[in-house]
Amino acid sequence: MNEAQQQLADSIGELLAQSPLDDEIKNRLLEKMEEIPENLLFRLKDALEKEKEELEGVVFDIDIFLKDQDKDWQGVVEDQKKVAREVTDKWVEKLK
Amino acid sequence: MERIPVESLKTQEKSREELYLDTLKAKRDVLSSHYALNQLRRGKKVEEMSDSDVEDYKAVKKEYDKRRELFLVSISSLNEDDSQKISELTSLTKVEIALSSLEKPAEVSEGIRPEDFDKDSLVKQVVENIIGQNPSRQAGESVAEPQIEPPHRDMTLEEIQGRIDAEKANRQTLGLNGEGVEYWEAQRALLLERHEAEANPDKPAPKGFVKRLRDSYDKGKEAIMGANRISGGSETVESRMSLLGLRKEAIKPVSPEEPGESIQSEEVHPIQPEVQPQPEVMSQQMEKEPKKPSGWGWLKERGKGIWNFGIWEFHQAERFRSKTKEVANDTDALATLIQQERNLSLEEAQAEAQEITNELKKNNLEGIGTAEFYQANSDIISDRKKKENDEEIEYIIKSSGNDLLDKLAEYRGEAGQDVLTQENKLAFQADLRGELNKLRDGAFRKDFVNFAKLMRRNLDENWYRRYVWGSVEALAWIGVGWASMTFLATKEAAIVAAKAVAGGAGGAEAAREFVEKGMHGNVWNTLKEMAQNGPGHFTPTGEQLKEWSQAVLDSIKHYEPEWVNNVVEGLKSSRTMPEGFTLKIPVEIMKQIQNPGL
Repeated sequence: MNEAQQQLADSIGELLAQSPLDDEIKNRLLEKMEEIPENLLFRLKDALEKEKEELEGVVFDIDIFLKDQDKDWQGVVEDQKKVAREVTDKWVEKLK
Repeated sequence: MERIPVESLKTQEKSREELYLDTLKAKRDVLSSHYALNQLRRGKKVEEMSDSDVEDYKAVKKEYDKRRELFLVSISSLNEDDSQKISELTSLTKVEIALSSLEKPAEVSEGIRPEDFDKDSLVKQVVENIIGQNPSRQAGESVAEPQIEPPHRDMTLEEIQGRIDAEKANRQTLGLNGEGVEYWEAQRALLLERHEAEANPDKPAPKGFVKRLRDSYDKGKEAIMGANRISGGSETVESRMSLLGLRKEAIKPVSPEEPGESIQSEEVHPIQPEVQPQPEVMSQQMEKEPKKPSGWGWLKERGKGIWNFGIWEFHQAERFRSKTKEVANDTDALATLIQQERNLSLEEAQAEAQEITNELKKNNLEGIGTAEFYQANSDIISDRKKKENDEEIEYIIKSSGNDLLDKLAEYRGEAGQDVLTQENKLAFQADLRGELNKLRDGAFRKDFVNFAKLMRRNLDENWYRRYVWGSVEALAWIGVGWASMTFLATKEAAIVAAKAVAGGAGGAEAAREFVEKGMHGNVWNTLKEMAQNGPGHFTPTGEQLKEWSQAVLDSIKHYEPEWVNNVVEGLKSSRTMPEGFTLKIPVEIMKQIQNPGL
């Protein structure tokens, strides 16, 4: 096994460990790995890398969502304060 | 995401060749913006980005989503063979070569080489065109020249050689230690190996390959466990997540420079570092270097909600595709959850659930399994903000009460206090609380819909099928087709997430002994429907239903005439209960209703 093949094995192993694929599928892949031709193993590595990139994208977008959410809720509190002033004035009129 | 009406994309009847060409172009467009997006994100941490940078990212993301949608519509119009051919063009370079061979005369296209294409300019174009038009940028505000780096798997031999040369030059001029050279030389060896494997498609993996892969797999799993150990105890993030049915192992960045990192710091490191040590170097570093921080810390802190949305999306997609099950009474299930979580009356919870369902419909987000999605992601959608805003509401009510008293005193002097009787005070508070809650609930709904949109957009099943896993014949090799691919244990996730909601420690529901539910038909039937439409989706046995019904009857001080011989003193017959009668379901029973395993 040359160095490139060692690298390929290491990458697939690590990416597969991190993948959200079901364990059952991971185990089947591991069991049959010997039978899969090398060119398809490269494609498997590509797919696992792409999966990881997609999921990193999800993480990033959720972080943006959370940042926006913080900002939006500050606005909600401001609106609530405004409504509170209106309701208070209404009750002042009612009771004065 | 705004779905593009299919009708607007259909043009006049096109030939097979034209459709193929259009789809190739669509794939080129989506990949170039995909690369641009990854580039804008790489090594960045959202909370440290300026508003302008976030807006730039959002603008590119919007364009990317649009292009992806166009591509998916386009590829769905192809026959299976053509669709597969395009799926196999896994990089921008390959797509460009295929496009050139179709667009240029045969004699010109012969001899086209990967290095003839300038991916960088395509990607830069995306970034510059979109960011340049971003209205949030101030006039004259400069836009940083994007440093484009395609995924390393899509780099040509020449590009890699360029990197090697540059690293060597850096070593000479800057005195760097040359790790970069080693990394890029390893990339070159990998690419040459790939070329050889592609030229000999039957070439098997060498001896010892599987063992090495397994070792790396085991090490990867071990590193994940270590990386996610919660500071100060033996509990791990994945054990928390496992309780919620999410992951058996948590995710960590793949970057080889971050093995076994700590979760204590939030500092982000580039996902694909410029310099990536080779495996041998890595293993030495793993032993010597202290654990490094992770950009996934936020996920680990929350511990739930993210991964299982993906599961739910796939799960739901499969459910709808197979049409073996329908999601019935989703709104009812959601109302039950909302009632538990926000401590609302049944009527208020039902009204809120209906509003949410309507909003989702308006946004073409039906079929996400609303209740399941809500409970799986409640930490992000509501828990996160609920406590904060509830405290704000209490503060506003208190200070408004003081304002009211002050203002009344202005008009009536000391008599103002007399006007504000206890009854008036309570009525004022109820009025105000109602108005404030309306605003809070509106914000919850907005969060829910926005989050559902975000996740739907990001976890589009078609995209995963067409782009991520589209060309992986390895899966077919082991007898796994796309339709049978599963992501973690979906059923288990449902059960345990339901359990967490029903009995989650520290939640509002934990403090309450009962969950209220309007009766439908009779107690037996109501509980049966709840189990069938709940997260567990199961039909309980007669024995279970009898046990649950009895517990509910006990809690509301009723009895079932068929199960007793005599009238029970102090209790009412269940036959006297009208339709919609409020049942009190003990939390313990609720857990069983939502979880067939208990």
